[in-house]
Amino acid sequence: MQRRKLADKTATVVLTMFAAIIVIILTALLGYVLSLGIQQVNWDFLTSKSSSFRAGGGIQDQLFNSFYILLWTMIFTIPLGLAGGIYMAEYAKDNRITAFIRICIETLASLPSIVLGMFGLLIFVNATGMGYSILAGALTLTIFNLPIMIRTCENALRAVPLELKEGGLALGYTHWRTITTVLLPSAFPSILTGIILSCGLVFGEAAALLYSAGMTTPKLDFGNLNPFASDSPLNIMRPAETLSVHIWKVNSEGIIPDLRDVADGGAAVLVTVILIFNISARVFGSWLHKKLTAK
Amino acid sequence: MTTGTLQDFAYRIEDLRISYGDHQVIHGIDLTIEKNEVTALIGPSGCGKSTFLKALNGMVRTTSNATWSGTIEWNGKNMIQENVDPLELRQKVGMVFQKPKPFPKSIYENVAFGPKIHGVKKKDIPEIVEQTLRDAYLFDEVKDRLHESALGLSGGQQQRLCIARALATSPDILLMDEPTSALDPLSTIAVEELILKLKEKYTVVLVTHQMEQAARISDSTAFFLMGELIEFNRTDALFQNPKSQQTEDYITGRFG
Repeated sequence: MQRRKLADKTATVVLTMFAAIIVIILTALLGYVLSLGIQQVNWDFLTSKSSSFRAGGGIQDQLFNSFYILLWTMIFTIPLGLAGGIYMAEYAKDNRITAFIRICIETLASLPSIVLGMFGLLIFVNATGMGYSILAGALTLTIFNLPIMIRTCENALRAVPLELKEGGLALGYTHWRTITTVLLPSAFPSILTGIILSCGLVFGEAAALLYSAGMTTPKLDFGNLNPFASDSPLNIMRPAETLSVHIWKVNSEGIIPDLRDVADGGAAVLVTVILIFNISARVFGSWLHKKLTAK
Repeated sequence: MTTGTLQDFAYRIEDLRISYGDHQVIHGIDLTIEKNEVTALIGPSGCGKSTFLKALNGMVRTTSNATWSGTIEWNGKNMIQENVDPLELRQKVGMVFQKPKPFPKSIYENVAFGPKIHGVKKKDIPEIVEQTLRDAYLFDEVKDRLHESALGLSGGQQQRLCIARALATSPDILLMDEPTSALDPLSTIAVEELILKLKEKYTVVLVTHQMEQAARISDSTAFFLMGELIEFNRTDALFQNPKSQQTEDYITGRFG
């Protein structure tokens, strides 16, 4: 009896300690990145062009590129991920083919992102001839993000109580109509949370983009909204250096005198945006859940 | 709709067999279910009563890989042999489940869910919703919050809402799978009273594991054991004077 109590207490203490370590590491890291970077960040830094040689450059184009590639990645990933998740949760039979598909998805999820980047270079950039471009980068990130999205959607659909599905079927709804009118709306809060979380992941990704979206940005004219113009920010066939790629590049091969400041400021912005994604995923997800269940 | 001879039964079942893979769970059942009556299906867990109930609206084939053979005559057709449109079948045969699980939508949306897909005109839906909620004796309790989430209702109210949801497609038959087993005693009484009133308009087939419930509200009772129909009779006769020794053992509480 005494020993069991002791074991229980020890377990509690040890587990609390591990949780504390995780929190300490995270706060230390965030504190370090933000305290170094925050003094560099001001409106001017966020809205001026980066400079190749002189000090005082900003991150305007890189920041825009990051969000723009994220947007296109999500345009590709969300429908594909939903379709895959619906298939895996609702249509896939419990057989060898499904087991094989599952192995494929898991392998894809565990591929190093630099390998995906090389794949993007060979297939999208070279084989299709589209060159370093936002499109090639977004397609590469789609492969990077797809396994997570499929799993998120599948799990969200599986978590819907079976009685709801039966309720739809028993009213004469077909399987497909039951999925669209009962299952998907019920699974929507978890799917949305998953989407926002993976936005953070995609936003911070660098390795997969080095050789697909490229490490340069052409001169952009933010007044030119014609998506086919070569200096338009909306053109998806232009190369685009994202914020995380920019931080890597400035740090490793930059020759500007204030490269530490630019890298620190960029990192602070990057981490802040990702934090916003993560926190809003939680807040928004639970708000939506409350609204839908009225609890 | 096919017009056969005017039938005085809701279902005529002959030699019904159902298997999940190699595992046969219903072993040749013959049973006729009368219209505008409450027919109770009783028996210990795993006796096949729920599977049997789910065969009556074809759900057993939709939600699992079950195979079936024999005859389930409904509406002039043998639904095992002939092609019966599941949409039409489930409009005419409603189903209520064990756990009260309304859709996570408003009370109004829950009731309107069925009529919407069965081609009811949009302007007729509010009237159907109100009438159905009245039929389920729920309207007075929820009339001020029709557009609030159904999940804010109590368990008993949720189950009556699920009954209303099933009634909204104006079925002739209502299948109920242990509808009160997840409810407290007061809600159980409310649902039982509702079932008694429903049989004026509807045929009710009720699976229950409470013999007292079958005795209280059913007209006929079928006793299932190991996938076979042991005894089927008027409820009074079955409980007061069981013909089979197994029935007697079960209703006197010797097993199950």
